[in-house]
Amino acid sequence: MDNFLTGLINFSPFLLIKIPILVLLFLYIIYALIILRQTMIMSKIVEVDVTPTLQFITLIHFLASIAIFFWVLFFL
Amino acid sequence: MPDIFTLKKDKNKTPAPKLSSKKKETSSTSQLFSAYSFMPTGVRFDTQEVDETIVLLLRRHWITNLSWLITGFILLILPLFLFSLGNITSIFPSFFPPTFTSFIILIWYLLTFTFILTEFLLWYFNVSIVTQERIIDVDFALLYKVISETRISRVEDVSARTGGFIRSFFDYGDVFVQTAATEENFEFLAVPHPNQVVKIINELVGREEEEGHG
Repeated sequence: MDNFLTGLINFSPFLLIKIPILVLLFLYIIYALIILRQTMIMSKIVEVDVTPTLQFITLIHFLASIAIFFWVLFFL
Repeated sequence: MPDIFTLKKDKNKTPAPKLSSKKKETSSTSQLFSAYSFMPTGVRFDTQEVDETIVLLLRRHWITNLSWLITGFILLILPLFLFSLGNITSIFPSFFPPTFTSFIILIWYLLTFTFILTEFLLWYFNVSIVTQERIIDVDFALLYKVISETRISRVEDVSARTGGFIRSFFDYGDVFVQTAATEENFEFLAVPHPNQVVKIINELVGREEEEGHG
């Protein structure tokens, strides 16, 4: 294990940071999905004219979290 | 302030008649940030009956949002302040890619946006609804929600509590609705015009009792 980590650090030290970042971003996507889902459920329970706008904002937030995950995966 | 409810319950399930009130109805366009909506238009809830009219839609007073609004504002301007101090990229080790600074800024603003969005949603969807027939209290959090309701006829006591300078100055406080012993009690926390809310619920209870005797 020590040899593997040493080899990884010598190969690309940034990978040791990138992998936890990707894990955290994946958890963040789940969090954004929960926000989206709960907003959609609550919008049915209390219907106000502006709730479609809120749904749209939470959808954009969810898509942004996915976009950032892939940006980190491929470009960072 | 609403005075006398001239409403007569329509037993033939026709659309509900209006309540007579000096207070203006709240229009749908002003409901986004409204914490106190009297006879709101364009608002519905999922278990609403055909002849059921929403009399009050309550949320926490906007002043209770001040702490997270200020925090959100500070989080928004903090990177601008830090970047004005000097070259931030120099604090990262050399093996970090040049795009890492962009990533940090992106993540910072994403988390700030999430913080503001979450706080807003928690405020927005935590509502208390008073109709001619029922009281509905929606307690919303991201991972759970509790929806409680009771009939107006089961309300036994309504009281308001306002204490402290800020609450008195902005006229907001807690309203407690006590129902029959076996049912749960309702708490509308930090709602605007608590005395007015108590008065409206009392008038609805009185009307319900009159109908019960009549």
